[in-house]
Formats: sequence, C-alpha cells, structure tokens
Amino acid sequence: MDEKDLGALIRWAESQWDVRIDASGYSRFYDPEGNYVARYPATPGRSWRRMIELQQALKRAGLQVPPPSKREQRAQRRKGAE
Amino acid sequence: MMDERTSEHWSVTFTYDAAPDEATLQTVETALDESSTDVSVAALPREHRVTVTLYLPGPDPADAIESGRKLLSGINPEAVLGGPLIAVEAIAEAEQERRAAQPTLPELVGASEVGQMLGVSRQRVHQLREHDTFPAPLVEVAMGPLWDARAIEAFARAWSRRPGRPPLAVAQ
Repeated sequence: MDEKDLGALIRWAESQWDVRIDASGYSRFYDPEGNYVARYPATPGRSWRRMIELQQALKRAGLQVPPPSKREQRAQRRKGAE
Repeated sequence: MMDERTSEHWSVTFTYDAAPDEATLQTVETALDESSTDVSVAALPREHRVTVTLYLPGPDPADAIESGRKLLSGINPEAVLGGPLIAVEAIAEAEQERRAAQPTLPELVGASEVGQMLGVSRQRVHQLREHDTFPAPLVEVAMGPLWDARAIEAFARAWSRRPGRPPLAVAQ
C-alpha cells in the first residue's frame, strides 16, 4: 500500500461519500447520511498502518473497499447504461 | 533499528457501544496521538459503535490487549465516548493487512457477462435460470439480475452442456 493506493481510495470515497480536508490537512470521511466515520492525517508517521486502519474503518461503515479497478468501474458504468 | 513491519505487533481494537459526535471522536484520537503508539479511532454510525485501534508490540495477543487497556485507562474512553466497552480483539499485523485487502463485495456480473462466461447468448442465460443448479442472483435490479461471478464459474465447471434442444418430457 502506498501513496498511489491512498489517492485511489480517496478518489473512490469521494465518488461515493463526502470527503473533506480540514485545516490541519486531515482527510475526513463521511458516509452518505453525512455521518463522520474516520480521518487520515496529511503526513502520517507509519502510513501503511494508517492506510490499513482507514480501509477497515471505511469497509466496516459500508464503503466498498478496496476500490474497483478503472476497468471494473467502466464495466459497472456500462452495466448501468444497459 | 528493527523494521516495525517485521517485528511482532498486534492490531488491538477496542469496540464501544457509543455514537459520540465528531468533535468527541477527534478529542479521543488527538489525546491518543500523543502517545508513541499508532492509533485510529473510527465510527460505525449504522451500528452505534466506535472502534479504537492501537498497534502494540508483545509476545502474544493477551499481552498486547493488556498494554492497550493500560494505555486507554489514561483517557477513560467509556466516560468520554459515552458507552461501555463491548469487545476487544487482537490481530497479528500481517493478518490485519490481509483482512483489509479482502474485497467487500464479490465480483458482480449481469446477464451479458454470464453469457460471455458460458459461451451462450443473453437469451439463453435467462433460459438457463430454469436449470435447477443455476445459481440464484445475488440481487435483482431494474436492469436485471446480478450474479456472483464465482458462482457462475462454479456452474460452468459442473454444467454438462448437451447440443441441440432438450428432449421433450414424455407423459407416462
């Protein structure tokens, strides 16, 4: 898991949920009902652990994690258009 | 210095029956951030739960849980969060990483993809649904049924396809 994975996870969460960056640089994740779920620091010390915990938190709160690949997302859009 | 990924760390999760506001969760997380331990605080709004996860070294999970309890006692999370502790789980870090990577949903496929997987037309897929061993869809939405791709793959492996029309049933 690296910064690229984090970027993909944040973009995916933004497409499904609400993600806000606060004044301290934390990414804050809210479910579709607007409930706060978890946050991710701008510069975490041991980022791999933070990423794992973020994934688990978002998953437990109902977000599909890990995000589907771009190919899967295109396929889902095609299915939706059928 | 030893790589912390290779040392024995445990992901210890304390679960509380509570649904505090965002500011309270932030207060708890900030207070715990000041320790040298990796901490994550998360809400499960639909389940009225809060989880506090700490990464702790230790020879076994019981030892890590005890370390976690001592660390948390300094902030009295039950009082701050407004609910009792209802579960504690210690998981080896590698196992926690494996669990995090597990997908939430199975791969879903519609009738077109099922047809491609089985080498038949979409119409034939709908006929095959009458087959006793054909998997039931996971969900039915307005655009049609969606199946678990693994169930279709299992069906394809076991399906004894016979060419031509199926024989007519003969009345006894």
